[in-house]
Amino acid sequence: MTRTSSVWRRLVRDRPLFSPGGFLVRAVLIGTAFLACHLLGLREYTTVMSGSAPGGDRLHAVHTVLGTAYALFYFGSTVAAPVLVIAAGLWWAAGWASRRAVR
Amino acid sequence: MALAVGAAVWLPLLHLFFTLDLPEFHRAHGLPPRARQLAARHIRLWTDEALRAEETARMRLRNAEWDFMGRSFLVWSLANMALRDPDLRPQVLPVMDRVIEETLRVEQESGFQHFLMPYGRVAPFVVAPARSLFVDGEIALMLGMRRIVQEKPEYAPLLAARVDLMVERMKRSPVLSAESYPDECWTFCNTVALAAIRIADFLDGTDHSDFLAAWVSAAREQLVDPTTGLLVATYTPGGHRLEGPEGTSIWMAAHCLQLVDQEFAEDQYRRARRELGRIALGFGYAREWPRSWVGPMDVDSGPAVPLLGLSAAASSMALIGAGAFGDTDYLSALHASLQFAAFPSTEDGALKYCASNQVGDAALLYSTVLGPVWDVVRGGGRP
Repeated sequence: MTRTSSVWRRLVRDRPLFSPGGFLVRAVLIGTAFLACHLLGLREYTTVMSGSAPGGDRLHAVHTVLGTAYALFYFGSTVAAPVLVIAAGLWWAAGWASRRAVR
Repeated sequence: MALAVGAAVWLPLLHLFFTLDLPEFHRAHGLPPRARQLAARHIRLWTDEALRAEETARMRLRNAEWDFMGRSFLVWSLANMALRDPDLRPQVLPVMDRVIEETLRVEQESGFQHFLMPYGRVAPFVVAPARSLFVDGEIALMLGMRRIVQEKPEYAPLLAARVDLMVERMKRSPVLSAESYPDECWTFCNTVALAAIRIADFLDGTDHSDFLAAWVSAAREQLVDPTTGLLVATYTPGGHRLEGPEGTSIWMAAHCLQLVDQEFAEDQYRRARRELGRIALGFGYAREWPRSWVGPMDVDSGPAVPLLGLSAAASSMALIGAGAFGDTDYLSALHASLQFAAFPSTEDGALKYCASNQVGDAALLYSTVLGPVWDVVRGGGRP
């Protein structure tokens, strides 16, 4: 537990959001969350978007939560995460170029 | 700044990862692979009793219309598939007959209201005895399309009787339209009925051409929204407009009008494309309402995405319009959106879109195969 929170602190909490590393870590976190949702089979729950429940069930709040979580992490990993990765790369490249120019 | 550049680089490229080759879902001849995969699931639903009961229950919990429309779109799709690939006939004809016979049985046992939303029972229909053109028109079109693939003598009197009923009721209205719900005529249902009447003329040698021309003439004069030139979605049998144009109605209406008046149909498609069809960053979608008129959100329209006005239901009907009128740029963009945001899932060669449902997938299937039945009727010869 201590080791986990230490890794979390080192990777996420101590790393500023607006930094190349911060962007990269957030992109990986979004991708990991999506992968977990996908492996848990939550894709089926996105049927809530059409007002239906998975299986022959009535639509419950839990279906909506699961379907919405899947959709959010899916769109996060296809739209936001690549933007974060590109931004991290550009920022790092700009920093590297300016350090080189100073030297 | 880096985020803005990242977005400017990534967002215009995103659609490339979801754009399929056109022949995957749209072909002039033969069956697109996507259609085969989508159909596999629907055929399974009608050959596996438990699966069908579950799916029907799921549809009816939300909207009884969806159960019915899922049947209609499936039969219409299978008819076109059978014309595209004659080898499929032994497989799809029994499924078409099963759907038709089961639908007729339910209609007879539980009444046409079984397929209507609850408000279909709360008020009397203006034209007595009560009937719904929604149910009559779609069943007539199922019977007609089935007979175009291969004649089935038992269905001929059923189609003729239903056409006579529809025409008789439509003629009682100054705008030649019959009710789908009490005091409510829908452009969608009336144009489906017109297509069925045209097919019956082709099959049985009757002639309703004067009636069809009169319908178009009345529609041009009284059912067109003055701002957009689009047919309105609902009106009373007296011709009083209840709502303006809607994406969930107009694309299918334009497609059905192709059998009635090609020039009017093309005009309606062009206007719908301009007022409702959109492509953004390579992704296609459709608005439910034009900018000049916003209607009430209901179970047909579903929720609209704010600012864009995007409606998933209207977008899936736009696939039918784009497929019917050969608008391949828009069709490709709409399919890119489907791949991106409708969560396709393939299992044992059967495709479904998780964000959709059975009626949505059946409408998608229809959009990938439509054409051959209309070609046969317009060409005037047997397939």
